[in-house]
Amino acid sequence: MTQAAQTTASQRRTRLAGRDVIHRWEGNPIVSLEDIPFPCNTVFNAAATKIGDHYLLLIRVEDQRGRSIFALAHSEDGYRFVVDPEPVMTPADTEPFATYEACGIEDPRITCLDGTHYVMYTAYSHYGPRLALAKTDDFTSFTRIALISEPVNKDGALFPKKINGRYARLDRPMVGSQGNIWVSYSDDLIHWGDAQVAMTTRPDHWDCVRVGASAPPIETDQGWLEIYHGVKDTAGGPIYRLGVAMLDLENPAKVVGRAAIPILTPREYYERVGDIGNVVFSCGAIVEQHTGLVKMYYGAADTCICVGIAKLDALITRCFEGEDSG
Amino acid sequence: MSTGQLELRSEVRCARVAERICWTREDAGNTYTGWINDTSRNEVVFITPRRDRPSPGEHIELTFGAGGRAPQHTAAEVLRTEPYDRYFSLIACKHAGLR
Repeated sequence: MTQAAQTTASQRRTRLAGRDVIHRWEGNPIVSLEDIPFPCNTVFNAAATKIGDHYLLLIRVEDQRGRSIFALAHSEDGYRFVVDPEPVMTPADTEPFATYEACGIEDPRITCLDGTHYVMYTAYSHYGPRLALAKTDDFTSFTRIALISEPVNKDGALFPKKINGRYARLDRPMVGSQGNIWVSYSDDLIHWGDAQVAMTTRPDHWDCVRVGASAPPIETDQGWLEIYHGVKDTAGGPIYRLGVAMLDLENPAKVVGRAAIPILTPREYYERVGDIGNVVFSCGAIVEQHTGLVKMYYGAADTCICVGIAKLDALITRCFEGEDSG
Repeated sequence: MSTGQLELRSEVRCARVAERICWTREDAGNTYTGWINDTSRNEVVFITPRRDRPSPGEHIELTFGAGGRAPQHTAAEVLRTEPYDRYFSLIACKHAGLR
């Protein structure tokens, strides 16, 4: 390497040190406990969608009993949200869902596919977490489609397009405390199979213990852009960070690019301190087609919801930067 | 206020980039939230959900730096309100001093 090249690489490392690709909105957090019009314990991970000029967040709210439910928040600018006065989805009281949602419904992800809005979420019971799928036309009533995995499985995200004629999803089955991201397929959204591992944990990295899908995959010319979360255990407890990877368009089990460093790591007070500190965890992102910006919504410290902004191109570029990018 | 209507304030305004604020009604326990739009020496304009908005003449308490390590509280009187968008209102109020 020439001296000039070494200098450039050194300068670049200095410039990037301690910086996140994601820019935190100055008005964060955008939704916190005080914004919820009904009694609850905390608010965090939110799915996101945009219908016309109208932004919607389907937010996970933990009620005072300790179960998670979903509430709906509205916005005209994607930054300032008003939360509906009542929850829009609560644990089912009819079978077969009631048994498996007895401890709550968690971490929704919204995918618009062929004009229908699907919500993939975690059904939680004393049997463990498993994936469930619902659909909605109006975000006020939800039709449950099926329980679509066995326990222990979380972080399900439906692709916004069929791949080779089949529905596809990402999920995260657990093996002990370890978890990797898998891809599986379905002809009817109910029965899933042909599962293949897509992204694994990386030793000696920030995502060395667990990884899981965060926002539903975003289609780009280079592949499916996936914003995912990674966990590293430390003496002070786990740290949840967010990263990006690029999956092959035709075979999303194939990773074609993966950033070595996170795009967002807990740094701000509201990310460090809360019910579970040192957590940033996304369940949804919106691509603004006219600006090329991505608004990424994320739960912080399991206590509030924030928004971060990045250029889509910057996230794509980050996927293909090497190990020395940090 | 930034709605394009006639600006009546004579003080120099300092625009704020969406700084968080909390406020409470006098003698009420509920806390409401919003974002500062701009401030001047004696006044502050903030954005809050329309359904929660206080009325002109109402006395409220503002909390700056809410959620941080050192929040500051100040009493204020609402001067006027205007729509911000479909869901939010702009609230102009006059400081009654830091507490």
